[in-house]
Amino acid sequence: MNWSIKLMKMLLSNILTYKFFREISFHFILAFLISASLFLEINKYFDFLLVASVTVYLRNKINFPIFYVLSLFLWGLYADILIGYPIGYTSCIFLFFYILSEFCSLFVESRNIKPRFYIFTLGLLFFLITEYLIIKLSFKVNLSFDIMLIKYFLISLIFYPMCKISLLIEPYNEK
Amino acid sequence: MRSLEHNSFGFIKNNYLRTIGIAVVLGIISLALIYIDYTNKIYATSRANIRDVILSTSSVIATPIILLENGLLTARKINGLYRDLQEYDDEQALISSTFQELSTLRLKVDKYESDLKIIKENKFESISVEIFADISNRYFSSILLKAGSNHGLKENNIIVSSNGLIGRVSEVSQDISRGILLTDLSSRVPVSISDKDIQGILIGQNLKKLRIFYIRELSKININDLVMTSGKGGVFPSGLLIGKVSKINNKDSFVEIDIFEDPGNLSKVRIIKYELVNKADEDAFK
Repeated sequence: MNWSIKLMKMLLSNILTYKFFREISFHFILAFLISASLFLEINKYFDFLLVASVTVYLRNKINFPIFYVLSLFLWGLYADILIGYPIGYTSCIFLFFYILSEFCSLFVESRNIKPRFYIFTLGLLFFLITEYLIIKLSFKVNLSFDIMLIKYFLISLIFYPMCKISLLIEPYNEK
Repeated sequence: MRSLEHNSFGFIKNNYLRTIGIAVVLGIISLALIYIDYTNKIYATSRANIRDVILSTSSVIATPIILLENGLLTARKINGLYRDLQEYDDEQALISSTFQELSTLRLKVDKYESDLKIIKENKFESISVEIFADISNRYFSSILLKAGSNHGLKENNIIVSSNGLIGRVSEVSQDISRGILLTDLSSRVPVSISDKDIQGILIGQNLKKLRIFYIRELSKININDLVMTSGKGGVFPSGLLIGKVSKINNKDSFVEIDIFEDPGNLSKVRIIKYELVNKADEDAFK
């Protein structure tokens, strides 16, 4: 009985002091990136939603996985209502990168940046091509391939620094 | 790599699969939500109202970055202020004479209309509205306006600047509205090209250059021909300037145009509350 109370206390303090704070910080970063994508003019060239997706992909240690998945879905809805995208669009992007990250974690260690980068770039390429095809088929519009490539390389370019920061923030050996 | 050291394989497998399963189900729900009918009135109203609430939250969260951007923009504006002042002085004399000329012409047109007993097609009422945010993104071009139903705005009101047409109002809530720009992928505007009144449909490409498709007499079009609204469809009045022809593509049968106004440079726009005079005409369009 005594040890269970101790365990409860330890868990609670752990959640409240560190894990909980980290969870809140992550969601605040997501909210900030979504909000910034609304107000900044640079967003035309540098997509903040894709930057948010990189953040989702780079998350190593998830404390409350089911809550996390649901929150990604809700943040997607929040972004769609705010920016004016069709409802469900951003949730799809976030969940796609979450599943990609989980798939990646099965085979690659979180400190191993290179393989993670390759999987990410392949995933991003798959996502952009799918999106391009949907736009082409739904709206019958041929989008500029150059602009898509620039966005692809810009996002790939920020992957390394973001990955380094994420590894610094999120302890790799945490149990 | 997922460590199996501190957990039994079964625990990880179940937990992992359950979370992935939930993510996949939510992904499918998200995909299904994309294809919801957007024309539904209740859906559009509730979405606009929810956006009002979360917009205030977002503007608080993004305050530091908004302040930073505003600071940079202000510095740039101050830099160009002296030059603008000089240009303004030069233009003053010109504007004065142009205004007199326009007034005379307006009087002449009124007289001719009354002599010929022409029924006035449209009536215009307009208000000046501040742009709250430019929310143009990868595939969508739209702006948020600081006015809503409280200011008399309605869906499909027309957004213009001093240089020409910009777009139309697509969603209206009490104090904020969303406007779809001409460059948006979903934007379709019936247009008339040159003084020969050649008809076509202007389609947004999410690029600065727009394209006109479904043109029957492509050979009659020349570079620098003016493009304006044709008035067909009843959403836009006829004669609103949009841009001029910059390229003619005979192979794919479209014309590329340069628009007169880049909405990215604007802080205010004018909303025209366009209505057809006869209610019967309005019903006919429905």
